[in-house]
Amino acid sequence: MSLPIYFPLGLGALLFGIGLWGALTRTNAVRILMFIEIMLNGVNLNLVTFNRYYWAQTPESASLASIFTLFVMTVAAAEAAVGLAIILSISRTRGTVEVDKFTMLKG
Amino acid sequence: MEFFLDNFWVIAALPLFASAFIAMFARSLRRNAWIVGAASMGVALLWSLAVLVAVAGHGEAGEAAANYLTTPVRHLVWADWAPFGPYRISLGLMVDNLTALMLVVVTLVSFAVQVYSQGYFEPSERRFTRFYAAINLFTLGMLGLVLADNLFLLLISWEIMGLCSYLLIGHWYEQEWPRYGQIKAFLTTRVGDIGLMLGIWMIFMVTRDLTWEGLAVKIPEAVQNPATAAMLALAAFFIFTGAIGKSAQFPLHVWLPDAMAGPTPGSAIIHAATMVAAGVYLVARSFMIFGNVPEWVLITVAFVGSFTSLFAASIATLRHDIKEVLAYSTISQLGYMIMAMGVGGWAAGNFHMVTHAFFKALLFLAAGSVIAAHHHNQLLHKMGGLRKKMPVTFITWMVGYLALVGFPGFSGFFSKDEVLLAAYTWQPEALAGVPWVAKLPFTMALITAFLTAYYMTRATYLAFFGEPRDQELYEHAHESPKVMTIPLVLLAIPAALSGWFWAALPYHFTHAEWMKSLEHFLHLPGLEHSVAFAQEATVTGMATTAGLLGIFVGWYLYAKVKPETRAAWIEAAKPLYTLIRNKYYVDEFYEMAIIRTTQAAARMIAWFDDHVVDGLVNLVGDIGVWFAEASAWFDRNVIDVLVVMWADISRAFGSVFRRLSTGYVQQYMVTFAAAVVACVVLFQVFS
Amino acid sequence: MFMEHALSWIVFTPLLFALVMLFVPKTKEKVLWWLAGIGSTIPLLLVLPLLANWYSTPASTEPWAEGMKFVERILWIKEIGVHYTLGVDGFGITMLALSCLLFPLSVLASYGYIKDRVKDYLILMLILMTGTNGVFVTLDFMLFYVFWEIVLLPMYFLIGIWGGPRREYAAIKFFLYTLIGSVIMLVGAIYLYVRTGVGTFNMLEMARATSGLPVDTLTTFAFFALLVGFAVKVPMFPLHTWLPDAHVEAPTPVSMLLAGILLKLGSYAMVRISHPWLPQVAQRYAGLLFFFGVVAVLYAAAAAMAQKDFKKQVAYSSVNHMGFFVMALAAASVLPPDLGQVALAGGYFVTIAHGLISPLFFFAVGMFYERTHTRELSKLGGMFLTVPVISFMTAFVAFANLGLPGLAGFIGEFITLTGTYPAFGLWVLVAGVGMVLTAAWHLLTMRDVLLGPAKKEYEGLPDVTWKEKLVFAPLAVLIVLFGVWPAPVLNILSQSIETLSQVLALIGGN
Repeated sequence: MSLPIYFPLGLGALLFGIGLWGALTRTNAVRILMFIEIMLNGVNLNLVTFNRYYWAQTPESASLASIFTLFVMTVAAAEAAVGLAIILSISRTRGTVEVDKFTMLKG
Repeated sequence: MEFFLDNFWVIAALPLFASAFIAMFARSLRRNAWIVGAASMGVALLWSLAVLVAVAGHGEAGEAAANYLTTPVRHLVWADWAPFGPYRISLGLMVDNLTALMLVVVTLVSFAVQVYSQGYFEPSERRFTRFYAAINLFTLGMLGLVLADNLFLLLISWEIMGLCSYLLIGHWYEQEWPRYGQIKAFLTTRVGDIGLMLGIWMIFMVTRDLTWEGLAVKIPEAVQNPATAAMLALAAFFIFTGAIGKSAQFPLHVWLPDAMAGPTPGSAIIHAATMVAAGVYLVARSFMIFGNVPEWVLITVAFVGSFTSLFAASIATLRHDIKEVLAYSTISQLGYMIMAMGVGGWAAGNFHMVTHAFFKALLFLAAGSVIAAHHHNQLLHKMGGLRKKMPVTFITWMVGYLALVGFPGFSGFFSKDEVLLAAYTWQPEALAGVPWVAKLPFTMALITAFLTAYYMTRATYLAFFGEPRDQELYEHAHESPKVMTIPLVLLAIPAALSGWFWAALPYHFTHAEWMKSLEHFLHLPGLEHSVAFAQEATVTGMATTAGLLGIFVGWYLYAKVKPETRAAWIEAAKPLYTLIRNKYYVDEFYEMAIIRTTQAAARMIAWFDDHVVDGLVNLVGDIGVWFAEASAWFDRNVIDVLVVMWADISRAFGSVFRRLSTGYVQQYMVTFAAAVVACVVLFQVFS
Repeated sequence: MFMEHALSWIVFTPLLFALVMLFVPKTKEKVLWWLAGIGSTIPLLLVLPLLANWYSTPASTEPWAEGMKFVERILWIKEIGVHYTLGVDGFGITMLALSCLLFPLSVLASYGYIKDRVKDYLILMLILMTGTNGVFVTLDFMLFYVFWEIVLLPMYFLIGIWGGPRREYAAIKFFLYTLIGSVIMLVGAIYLYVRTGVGTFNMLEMARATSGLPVDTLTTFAFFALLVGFAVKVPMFPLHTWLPDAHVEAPTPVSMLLAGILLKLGSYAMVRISHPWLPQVAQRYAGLLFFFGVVAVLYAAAAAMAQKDFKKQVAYSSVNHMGFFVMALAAASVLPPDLGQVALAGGYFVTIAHGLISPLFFFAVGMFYERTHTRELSKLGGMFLTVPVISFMTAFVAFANLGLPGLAGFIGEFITLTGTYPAFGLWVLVAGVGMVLTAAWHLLTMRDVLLGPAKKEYEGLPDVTWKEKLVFAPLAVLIVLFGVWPAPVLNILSQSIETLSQVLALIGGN
């Protein structure tokens, strides 16, 4: 008895969509960071799903997607750490974490 | 005696030592410098006398000698003095009869002057040692000149004397006149020196030899070739220009009167007795050149000499300054000597050079004594009646005076007679067609004899006779101290008696005519002339008459004629008086024609250098700068513009696209997401 | 060991000292002065044994150093045949000795006179010494060129940094003049190298090859290219105008070197390179060369007469004196060897005498300038009563400079004209007039500066110091010595002069 593949893929897409929506609409930098994490998790779910799906057909590449997932999680952790550190220092120097206040890169 | 002759170089070494010693220890010697100078010169004088006696003992000169040169009695040579390629200039000293005689003359005058100067200079004189060092250096130069065995050493000595003359004229250089006089003297003689050097170069080119002995052999050979002979004649002429400069002959005589700006004892030795006679000595010594080359050279010499003697004597008649009268008299007498050389009276010219050295040095020193006693007044018309105040000076002056005017029995009488006789018997072949021209030198010399007697009588009368014209100066006048009068007496003896000197020579006794012993002592092989007694008597008679007449006229004009009458006569001959009083405007002519021109030319050349030559250089530099500036302009306006254009284009694009970056993070994210979607779509479409 | 490389030691000792001095802090001026003094004196001490052994040393017979003494040779650049070749003949050793004498004296003269940037100044002096000494001893054209250019830079800075108010102008003028000259010279030399295909830059071997070339447009060009390069340094009329400016602006010790040594580089190079290389062309154009020489004598004398600046007058007199050398060289080109030797001996003696006299004259001018801070003739006066010893020194050197017999200046001029007269006849009278004018301006200057009543504003000026006496004495002694006894110099020169006169007369085994 196996779950049809559309279910986990659909959940993954939903997660990604929620994440994207949140990242584009929220202005608080911490929230944006959290939504980005959600996007990453959606992607991870995709990866794990495909891993399970292809394992049945090509056993030699069994752990490839799992390793990639682990990388994404590690990088996401690092990214969260760096991102939080940046946000912290921004809030310290600027006194706010609202991203629409930061337009220093305006050309 | 032979010992002194063998070591004759000591005579020249003594003044060298004295000069160096005085210069080195000037500070501690101070006034005592005169002892060093006089002592060394005294020894040199005695040594020279010994040499003269020894040389005279050797008998008649130059029996075996070559053409126009006596054989040296002693000869010292330092051969490798200056090797120039295959040729050598040697330093050589030699003694022959003429040299031996000149040694005595030079050392005697120098000794007298050095003793005399001690009294002449005031105690406050600050350059006493400088004077003595210069006088001794000068004596070295003059001794080197007469001892030299070649033209080069002669030239060096010649110039050393020129330097000393410069130094002594400028002794009181705080004043204007000495500074003017010293430069004038040096430069005027320098003009002649260039001529002398040119003559030496020409002679070297022909003979490759500058020693008297070598020239005596080579010149007669060289003149066989007419072209060479013509060139040598030119060389002789140029050498003579050296003599013109040094012996102050017309037209280079102008420096000597201004040389009187120096202290009188210096004038006595340099500008009366010795240095100015060096020109005469030069002609006498290089007679192997003058005697061998075409005759026009000697004719020129004779005319320059006789004209100068008349010219200078005429100027001397109207001078008011006692030293100036003597200076022009010196020029005039030097003209006599030069003329004697030109007319072939070699012995006569040298004889006159010797006697003149004595009596003119005496006159100068006596004049110096008068000047010192007169508070350094040199003007004749402020003197008068001094014979009572200064008996010794007066008597010695009179000895010199009588010798100069040629009073029978005094030295000048004999020598002047000889000179006039030589001129009288002169018969150059070139002038055979025009005998009256050949008689011109004698005529001029005879007039000179008259004028000489006149102006000397005038000066003597104005200074020593009559009533004092400036009572205050007269009151203060006094006889000079012994240290000054003793040298006067010392010089008065040869001034009076040196005409009789020849009588004392040993071979006088073997020859009945004692005047002939002069011809024997000062005998130039190759130059023979005999004179008849009648000619001699004629000349003596004429010369003596002219002299006595001059004395009478001078005495009459100043002792008998009233000053007002004299003034009226002068008024009557005003143009002539003005001309002579202004020395024929020669100085003015030179000032205009030479000095101004030279200065203008120098300024022009300096301008040319600054503006044209240097201007060209700067122009080249400027062209470089212009070129650089043009390149810079091109760089800025062409190349740079192209470069900048690209930048501008980029900026134009940039200014459009910069609007896209708003700085809002989320906008970037939207763009990013949209781009991803677009990529996926495109990938799907085109794959 | 030492004698074999004596010349190298003489050349490079100053450079070694300059390197050592780089590491001495510039505040330790005393150490620097000592180092510079020792570094410039050692070559003088080294050159003395060479002079003492001059006659006992046999001349080399190698083709690359024929007639030279104390030779050294190392291969340097094989491809174009450049060797590090050193050796001296009479022309070289006299100039080398002169240079080794003048440098210590000018360092001594600088002491107390140069006060700022002492370290830089002294190091430049030592580099300059290496350059000049190198020029006088090298026998290879490329090496010669290197040393020739080494001379240029220190001189530029010495004038440009420590000079007077217009120092930049003077320094740049000096630099450009000589640089252009030397580049043209290099072109000429390279052309001859290519044309003959001799394959070496050795001066003697090149001379053998080039002296056989025909006189055509290109050899004529090469000759004048070389000559212009050297004439700028001499300096020959009309390429002389850098000299008065450089002298007026340069500090006194640098002026001494400029007049004493730098100008001699040109005259030395003429007798070493341009004339032995192309004697056939030199003979063709001897008249032109003589013209420039004789004009320089007259022209510079007249120009000096009209100057109002004491130092500028002395500078012009350098042009005047070097004119005699040019005349002599021109005469030697057209005379038979026996008379040619007379002219050359005279001409070269002029350069040596001038090398002794003119530094001293500049030094004398400097002594006045240091005290009165003016060089204007109209502002000086009565110095004999104010500073008698200095005035005496000045009068001495002025008389030496105007050519008074008994001092070194006269002998050279007189013998030069003795040798020149047979070649160019009465034209030497132009030089004679120049000599009279020279005498005239010396006397007038002495009158203006030394004589006359003492001036109030200069009362109480200090008279000569010990340092000044020390600088003055050696040169003055030599001036008198060579004036009354020229034989030592002439004997050292005689062999080289004989060789050169034969080359110039186009005689000899080429």
